[in-house]
Formats: sequence, structure tokens, C-alpha cells
Amino acid sequence: MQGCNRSQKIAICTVGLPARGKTYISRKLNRYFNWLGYKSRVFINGNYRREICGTECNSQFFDPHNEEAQKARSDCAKMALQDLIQFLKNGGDVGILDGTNITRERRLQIESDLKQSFNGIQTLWIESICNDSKVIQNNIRLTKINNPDYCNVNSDEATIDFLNRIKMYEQIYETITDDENLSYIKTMNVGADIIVHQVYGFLLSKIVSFIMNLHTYPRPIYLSRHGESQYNVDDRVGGDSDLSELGEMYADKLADFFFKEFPTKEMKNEIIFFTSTMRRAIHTSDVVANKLEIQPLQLKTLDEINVGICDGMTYTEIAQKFPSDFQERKINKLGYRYPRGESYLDLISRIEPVIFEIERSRQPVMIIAHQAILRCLYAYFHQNEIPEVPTLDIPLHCVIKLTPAAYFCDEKRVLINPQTGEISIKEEYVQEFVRSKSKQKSFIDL
Amino acid sequence: MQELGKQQKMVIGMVGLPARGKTYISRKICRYLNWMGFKSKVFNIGNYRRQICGTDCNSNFFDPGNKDASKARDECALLALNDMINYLRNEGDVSLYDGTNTTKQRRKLIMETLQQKFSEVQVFWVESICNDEDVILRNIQLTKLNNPDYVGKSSDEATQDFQQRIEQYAKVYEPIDMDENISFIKIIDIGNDIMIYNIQGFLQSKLVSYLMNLHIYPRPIYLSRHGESQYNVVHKVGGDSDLTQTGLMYAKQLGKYFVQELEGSRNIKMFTSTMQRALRTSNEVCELLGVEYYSLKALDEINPGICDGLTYQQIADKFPQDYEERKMNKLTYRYPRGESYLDVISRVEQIIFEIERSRLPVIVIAHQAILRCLYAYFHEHEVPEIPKLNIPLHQVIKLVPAAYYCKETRIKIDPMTGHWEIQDEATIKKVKSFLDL
Repeated sequence: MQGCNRSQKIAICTVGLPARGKTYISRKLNRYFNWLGYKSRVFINGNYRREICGTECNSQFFDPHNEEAQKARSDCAKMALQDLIQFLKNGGDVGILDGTNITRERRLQIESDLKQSFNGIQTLWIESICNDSKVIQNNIRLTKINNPDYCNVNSDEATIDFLNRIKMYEQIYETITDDENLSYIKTMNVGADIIVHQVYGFLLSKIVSFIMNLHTYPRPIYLSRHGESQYNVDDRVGGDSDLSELGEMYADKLADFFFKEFPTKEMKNEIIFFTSTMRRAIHTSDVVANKLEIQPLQLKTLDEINVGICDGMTYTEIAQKFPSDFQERKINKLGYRYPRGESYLDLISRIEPVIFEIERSRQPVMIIAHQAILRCLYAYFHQNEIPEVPTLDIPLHCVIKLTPAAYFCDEKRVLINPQTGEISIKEEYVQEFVRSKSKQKSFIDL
Repeated sequence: MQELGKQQKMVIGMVGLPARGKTYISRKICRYLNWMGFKSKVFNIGNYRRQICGTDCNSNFFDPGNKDASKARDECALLALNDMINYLRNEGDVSLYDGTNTTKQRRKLIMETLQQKFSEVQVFWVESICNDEDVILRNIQLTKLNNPDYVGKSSDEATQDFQQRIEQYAKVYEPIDMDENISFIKIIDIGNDIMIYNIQGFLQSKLVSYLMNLHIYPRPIYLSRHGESQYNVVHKVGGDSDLTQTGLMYAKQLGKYFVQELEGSRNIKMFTSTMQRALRTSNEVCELLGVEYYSLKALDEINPGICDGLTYQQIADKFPQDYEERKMNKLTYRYPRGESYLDVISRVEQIIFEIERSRLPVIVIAHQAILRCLYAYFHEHEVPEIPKLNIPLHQVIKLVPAAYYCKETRIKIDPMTGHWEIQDEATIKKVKSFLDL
């Protein structure tokens, strides 16, 4: 909930062997905090090491007996921590230290440095434990092979070297124990099993709930607005108008699209289908629901942004009747709240339970809703910055298919012509910076 | 989103030695679930045992070596289990099995019986472990000494016998192990440590979030409506009207009340809505107290949609059908373009978590429908009663959580004179309901 206790600084540090999902968790948490309105940033030990020691480090570099390398790595880790502390001092709310931190000594040093730098800082340690070799192999394949450390090496060699690197770390791995006196969360088996020790406070308990619902299962999320409505035709905002003729045609074509997209009965029954309680969305959803023989859940949380006293007006009328509000909204579309209505920030807060639900689901999700709502949902999964939310392009008669993956989100836009049923597809892959061969020098988060 | 949780029936099994807060936790969960729209009921094995074996059981009855007693206790456990299954088959969504269930064998028996008789059910275990002697002693004093098992005994005798009873259980206690292959949450030392294993599904996930916020600090919760607003005077619904003179006076008197009540302390959490009448009231209070408030849209009054700004008479004239519908089913009726009480309950859930979590006194200055929902949650009213609960203007409701219920006090504050009138609700009612579990 925005506004609850912003005064306390929070530092989160990961713990775990390589390829245990630490960066994944760090990034997800970072996304979540920024989403909630907290200034959050990830500081990745590995990036500092790459920048300073170069990327030609094979597994020998990680040998705990290699003293010179050890010193270099330790220095890099210190730099990352210092930058984190600086960030918090300069107005940051949450700093996330993404590193292996597998020895007691290292952890206690970090904890002590953090506690000395800030009065009353809350620290949380998140240890990710995984002993399932399939999961580990998959992690390596998905995220390490494209890592700058291996840009000159083929994928088999990379895998072998990486596994050796893990063995180096295993030699000195010490799991967190209670007598270290740290607040910690241990997550095992990709969030199915969690141990929580001395975790108190608003954000910290939210973190546990969030982590519980994370997984790396690549399920698609389909977002579509309702078909064109009467108010759309008249360019009016708000209202609870019904579909126009064109909108009804879209509903039919949309149903056809989904029918083909989920060919078998089992696949159709797996779909998690949400819509709002407004006519235009319900009518669109009903057509889809009938064709697929599934039932949508109508959630008031997905209702379009409430435009208060401007309900039923066109933008021109608003500009004429409430010129100062019109200006205010232009300047700050994100925070501007319609009198007796809502702001985009209110929406972001409102849809949080739906976001949790989507995060949790391992089955395909289908949402038929409204422009402002979908802007918020899209922004969350596509990792857009919050100020961008009110201007994101979510046109009518278009299905957006998002497939969140480890560090990025695949997007595919399916534009459906309501009259002809013709489909044109736009695909876009958000390039994760580590994938591209041309190096970007950035230690801090992405 | 309750429908997501209703896809499967659920049994929640409690595990733990006596005086570990199992009944407290199961009642809290039951309250939360019912309030959220899941029909839930607690089946307390101790009650079955009292009915069948009588209440004159001293600690020897609980000796695991006492074959006859063990047999009788097993029978009681199975009876409770059967009743639980019937409840789920009929109108229930969730059953809570409140007993010690401290051996692997007993847990296995329950899992197998459920598999046989009701295989579609999800089972989730909640184990409460506590090693703090002071907490245990306090639990015994607060909840056991009034227990029917000890009627007529002195409190020292009762405490001693109860501690012996605990020892009998401790002899055979086997905490939940991961290889029992069950979904569980272990709460250790009132949340100091929590272990979560194999959580599945929407409802279990929500319960875990809920349980993480519980504690046993007896902090008071104060609920008050804003002072009288202009719309109140003309009996209009909705709107964002300001306070009347009387309302403003109430706000000032309310501030004075809190200054005295909190004895000058500033360690409180205050929540209000984003509507003028609540903000103004809160501003007055905060000025006197020297604290800040959180203004949350989630606490805004119920949205009456197209009826906004009308009096009830006007609504009856203009929208006779809706007027009738609302009279018949005030809980689920949704104003066109507006909200229903059920929508408000859903919206206010996050506030419940916030209040539960807080170890500081909480003050909520909001609106009638909102407070009806909050009050109903803390004071354990049935959900259908919510729209009719009495939350008048110019009154503070003070709720102090005690063992299994909330002690309620109402303070009527006269806006003109500042005179307080304190009304003590009958808390005897609540104690009786514990016995009826």
C-alpha cells in the first residue's frame, strides 16, 4: 500500500550457489517494489566483477584457494555494497544486493556494514536453495550461456565451465544458520517450500507473500480490450455503454482467434479467464466464453478507471467545462485524480491482487478489460517505468500476448480486423542486455 | 476473487501441544474466511471429548499409555472428522479441525480417512510450536482456567493439572515432517520462525499471507465515522460533502478524546479515506495529537453509482425497482455504476491485514459502510448482518482483542459539550460462544 512507512530503508541480500535463481528473484522483487512506488535498485556483484576483472574469467578464477582472484572478487563485492549504501543515502528506499554471499563471514561483514551505515535499516537475507539438477541445468541454459562471461565460448564448453564454477562455490558454501542473527527467508524448490526467520514489518511480509507466488513456468498472458463500444465511437470517457456493431464483430473474431489458439478441450479448460463487471467487457467475454465453453470471472477490480465528474463527457467537453483539471491531467497524467474518481496511481494500487493472481498462475491467463487497466497490467509484466503507464499504446481490436521469461518478457501483438477477421502479427523481443554481444557497461540494475 | 478459492473444498488441520494457540489461530482463520465469503466452521475435538467422555478428565486421561482413554479419544477424533466431512458436503467450503493431532499416525489416519470419504478435498496443516514458558503460562491462564474441564477447581490446581496434561502429550509429540508429504505451515514462537511447505492454490496462499500478519499483542483498535456532514443533514447518499459546524465540533472533541485516551502517546497508526469529510475530521484529530495519517482510497465510502446525491426517498421514487432489490438483499445489491457491500468487503481486505499486522494502537476514521465491514470482521458478526450494523455518527468504537474475542466499548461524544458517555457491551455473550464451539 503506497504511503505506508516510507521512512525506513531496506536492504535485501541474496544468498546461494550460482544458477539458483538469485538474480531472477532480485529482479522480480525490484520490479515489484518499483511498481508499488518505492525507489528500488539491484546491485549485481557479478556485473562489478565483470567490469573490473574482465569477462574472460573461467572457473579457475572462482577457486577459493586462488588468493589473488579472491581479493579481486572481495573488492568488487565491497564496491557493490558501497554503491548500494550510497543509493539508499541518496533517496533510495530499497537496495537489493544480488550476489552469492555463501559464507558466514561475508554475510556478517555485510550485515555489520549496513547496520553501521543506517540507523534502523531493515535487512533481509534471501537464500535460494535448489538441489534439482534439472532445474539447475535449465537455469544455466536460459541465463548463463548468453552471459558476457561466455561470449567467446560455445554453449557446451560454457555449460561445463559453469558447472565447474558451481563446484568451486560448493566447497565453501555455508547455509544461513539462526545464530547468525539475520532476518532471512530460505526458498527451496522454486518457492514451494519457504522458511521465514524473524521477518517483521510491512514490506518484509509482503515480500514473503510475493516470493511464495513466484515461479519460472513460462505461461502466456493474453490482454485484450473489449470490442469498440458506443462511447468509443462518440469519443466519450467513462460510462457503461454497450458494444457498437463493429465491437460485436470483434468479439466474434476474437473468439475465433482464441478457439484456434487453444486447440484441445484440455487446453481450453486450463485457461484462467478474467473480465470486468462493465457491459462492454462482459459482452465481449461472453462471446469468447460461449465459443470456448469456459466461464470468465467478473472482477470489479478490472473495471475501467473511474472518471468521477467527467463521466460521459468527451475530452473537448472536459477541456471546456473543467479547463484547469484538463491542464493538470495533461501535466501529470499519472497522479492526477479525477474529482470523485481515480488516478492511475489508484489503479495500480487497485489491481495488485490481480497481479498476484497472475504471477501465481501456471496456466494461460486471458484478460478482457479496458485501456487504463490494461496499461497498468501490461506495464507491470513488460517492466515499463511507472511514468510511462498512462501513455502506453493499448489499441482496440488487438490481442497482446505476453510471455514473461527469466529476465525479460516476450511480446506478440495480434491485430484483428473486426470486419474481415484478417490477422496481422507484430512480434517484439525485449533484448536483455546480457544477451547482446555489444557490451553495455552497467553494474547496476537493468 | 473468492471463486478461485471455491474450486475445491478445504480442510485445515491444526497441530500442536495444548496451550499453543491452536484454537486462537483456527478461530482467526475461520473469522477471516467467513468474512471473505468462504463458509467455514471450526470443529474442536476437545468439545467432542467433553460431550462424550464428560468434563471430569484429569491429566491421566491423556496418558498415551491409558488404552481405554486413548480409544475413546480416537473415537471422538473420528466423530469430529465425520461431522466435518458432512459440513463440507452440504453447505461448507472450509472445515477447521481443531485438535492436537500431534502424532504422525493420527495425521496419517486423518489423511487416509479423508482420501477415502472425500477425495476431492484439499488438506492444509497449521502447526503451532511454542517454547516460551511465559507465553504458555499466559495462554493457560487466559483460556484454560475458564474451560469446563476445570469448573470447581482452584486456578492453581487447574494450572498444575493442565501442565501435566501437556506433558502427557509431549511424550508422544512428533512435529510435522516433510516426508509426511502434506502441505503445511509451521508457526514457531508466534511468528518468529515460519516454515511453509508445498502450498497449493489460491486459498492456501492467501491464508499463509494472513497468518504471517497475526500476533498476540493486545493493541486497541478505534473506529469512528467522520463528523456530521452536510449530506448527512439532508439525508443524501454519496457525494463528497464537507462537515457541518456540528461535525467540525465533533472532530475537535474527538481529538481531545484521543489525547486523553492515548495519554499523550504518538505511537499510533491512523488511517482515513480520501473524502473531504473524513480528511477534515482526521486533520483536526491529528493536529491535536501531533501525528500523521494515511489517506487511503480503499477506505472511501461505498460508491452509490447513479444514486449519488439522492435521498433515499428520491431513490425510491426514481428507481423503485432498485430500491426494492436493495431492501431485499442489501449485502449483494450493487448500485448501478456503483458498488455492493461485497465489493466493499473485498476492497477493505488490505486494511484488515494492515490492522492485524500493527502492534501499535490503530485509529480508523472513515464512513458508515466501510466501518460496518471492518467492525463485523473484528467483532465476529455474520456477513449477512453487515449492512444493518449500528455505526452511528459521533461515536467511537473501541475494540480490544482478548483471548478469543474482542472486548468492545463505545464512547458517545457530544459534539457541543464534549461530554463522553461510555457504554460497555456485554462481553459475557462472547465468552459463552467459546463454549458453543
